[in-house]
Amino acid sequence: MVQDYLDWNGSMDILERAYSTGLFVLVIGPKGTGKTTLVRRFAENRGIRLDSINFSLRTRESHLIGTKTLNDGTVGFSEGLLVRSMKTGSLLYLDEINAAEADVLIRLDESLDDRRQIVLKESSGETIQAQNGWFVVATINPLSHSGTKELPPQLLSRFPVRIRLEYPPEETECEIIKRHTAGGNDEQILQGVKLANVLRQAAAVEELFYAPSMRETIAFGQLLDSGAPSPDAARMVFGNVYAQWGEMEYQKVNDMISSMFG
Amino acid sequence: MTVETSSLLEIGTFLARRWSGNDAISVEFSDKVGTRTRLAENRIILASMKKRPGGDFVRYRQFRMDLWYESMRVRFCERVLSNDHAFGFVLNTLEESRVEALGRRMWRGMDNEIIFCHTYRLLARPSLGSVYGRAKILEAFYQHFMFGAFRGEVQPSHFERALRASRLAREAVRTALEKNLGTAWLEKRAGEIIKALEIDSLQTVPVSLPFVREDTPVNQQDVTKFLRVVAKNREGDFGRVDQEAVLRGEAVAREYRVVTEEGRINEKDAAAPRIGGIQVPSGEGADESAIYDMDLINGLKTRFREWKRGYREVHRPAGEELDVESHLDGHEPFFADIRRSIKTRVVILLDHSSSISADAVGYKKATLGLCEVMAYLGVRFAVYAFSTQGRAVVCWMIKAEDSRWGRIHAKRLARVVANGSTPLAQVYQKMLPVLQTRKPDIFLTLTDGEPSDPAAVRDMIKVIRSQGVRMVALGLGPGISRATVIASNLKRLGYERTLATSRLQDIPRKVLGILDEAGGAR
Repeated sequence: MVQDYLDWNGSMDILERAYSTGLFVLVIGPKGTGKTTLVRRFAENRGIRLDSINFSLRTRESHLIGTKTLNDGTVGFSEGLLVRSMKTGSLLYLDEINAAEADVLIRLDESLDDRRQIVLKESSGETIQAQNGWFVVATINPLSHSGTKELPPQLLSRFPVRIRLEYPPEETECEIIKRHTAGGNDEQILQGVKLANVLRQAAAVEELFYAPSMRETIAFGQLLDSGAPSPDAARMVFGNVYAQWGEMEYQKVNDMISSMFG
Repeated sequence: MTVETSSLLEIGTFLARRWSGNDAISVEFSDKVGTRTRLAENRIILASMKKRPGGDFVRYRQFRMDLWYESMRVRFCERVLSNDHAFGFVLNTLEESRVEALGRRMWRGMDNEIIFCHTYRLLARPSLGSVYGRAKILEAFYQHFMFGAFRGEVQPSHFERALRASRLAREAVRTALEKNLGTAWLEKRAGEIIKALEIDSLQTVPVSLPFVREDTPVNQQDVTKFLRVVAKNREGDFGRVDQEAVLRGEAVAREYRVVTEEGRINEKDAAAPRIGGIQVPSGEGADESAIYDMDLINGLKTRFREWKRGYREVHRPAGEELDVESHLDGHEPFFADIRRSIKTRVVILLDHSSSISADAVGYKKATLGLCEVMAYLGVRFAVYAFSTQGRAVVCWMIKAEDSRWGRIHAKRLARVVANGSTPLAQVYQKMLPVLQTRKPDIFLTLTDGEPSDPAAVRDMIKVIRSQGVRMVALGLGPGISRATVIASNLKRLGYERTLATSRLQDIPRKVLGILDEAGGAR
């Protein structure tokens, strides 16, 4: 069960519309803004099966399409996730699609055009036609994230509905955190969110190498629940990670924490 | 400007931008003026560290708090007037109190540092007995409003007026905070306070900076006494203050140590090359924001991200991990991650002769972009520039190899004025001691013209190459044909490699290409 999802910018509504009109959706936003949670919650609401794949440099064509197998002298074909999803008409969730290599994306492109079909050249050459209701949602992280590439324009056009998911406003983020915590630390949580926003802003202009996600602000709230004093929790969740870029970087962030929590 | 200031600027710029929420703010120090903010120019000018009372740590804490107050002004003030006349002085005093209260709503950990800062501010104020003329009552008002006390005797005729003005000021700030009113509203109240003080609103205010002489000794008993006064005065806002903790300043102690250590590294490094007749341009007053092209820098960072990540996936005929698909497609079947990082140590010399002056800003933007991306990729590099000053060629050190790239280096680059011809041999001569001791892998000269002393340059190149340094030149020309001619002429001078470009934006890419070729990818 996905924890209670707060649809603060109407993304669920956009997904619903796209689903009912059969248009594929691209969700764009930095990490930890609730992209995956949104899609999981949507699938759950709709009662549709969800097939997910997380793309990386190591994702191969075979993961999507399938591989040949040899069993007792018989050559078979084990279907990949894309083919399976097309056949069953499930919700295919392509996470961080812009982390994949170009050759993988080409095969995706083929299946996502208006015909919604793919020729299995790897197997018998049969054409797989997607079931009615087959729905694809992809996500991309902004280009500034490591390991990401620009999505080729032809693939971009396969996702005509785009949802931009940013970090929510302070109050909304606090509200989301409260849904994951025991409650009672409202003021400190607000301070934590403010701190996260300061660091996010610094990362956006490349003054820091890393921006905390909502997972981290939630973790901050959970540490407060465990009884950790707020300055300590802030250092654990937001501060210490910057030590990997040197003492000066760490001190810059530490100063922000001291300025906010003392 | 001392070298130590470079690391103060580094952390200072970061803190000011985060505290104020304004990414365009630049911070600088000045020996001539007191701390002030120029909102329209996005500049915070801080009084020199030397002008602050106390030891180094105490000065650092004052610097940090001055910066915080100025950042709060940037965040909350609509206008900042000059402190030179009574009206501006009174308005700024009211605003300081208002922005402090607003700032404390978000920056809740500042309380002890505010108390500390006020203690030293009170310490730095003149005794009323030593202020003469009409400035006296203004000073009395300031002291009473800010610290709730007077330093020295206040004459009876001033006492009532100062007290009344101080009460009016408190009332004004409280109302402004309650009703969320800003600078424009407080401006009207400042007029009323001036009236209560019975002074002229354009009356000159003596500059507060000279009140403190450099290295004024601080009496520890005074500090304790003033701390008590300030703590008592602010008890209403801050509650009970742990005075011992205020004096210790533990929250800032480690940060101070790191900044000092960083400063020491830069200082050690910057001191060395001066032996060779190389000068360091003063970064003071230079506005580096004009030559920062964030689009260019971010574009470069995105392009070279693969190098930053440090590895690249390649296919090979042999290896550990088999990629069946690649094999079936007839490509090399194994893939491996290869380390990709630039280990080449490079010294870059930038031509700042008069021919570049027509496009000096574009040239500086491109070279600054190059430096930013090299720092981002962790390349070890030093940057020098040459220009003519007073008929003599000067070789400027922008950044030494061991110092970390930062704001101060950008300021230095902004400071070099393009002038004169291209006497490369003379410049090489000046740089020879550095090249001999440092022995970089590559010495890269960026020039837009042919040297005025070609024969001597040829000899110098031989000398430098004999040290095992690879000599590379990048020729910049107005068109690609001119650039190519420059490059081919440079080649005849004995450079091992020459390149040409007619577009300034291509400089970073070309230079990084050279570094990559030089055995960077491994």
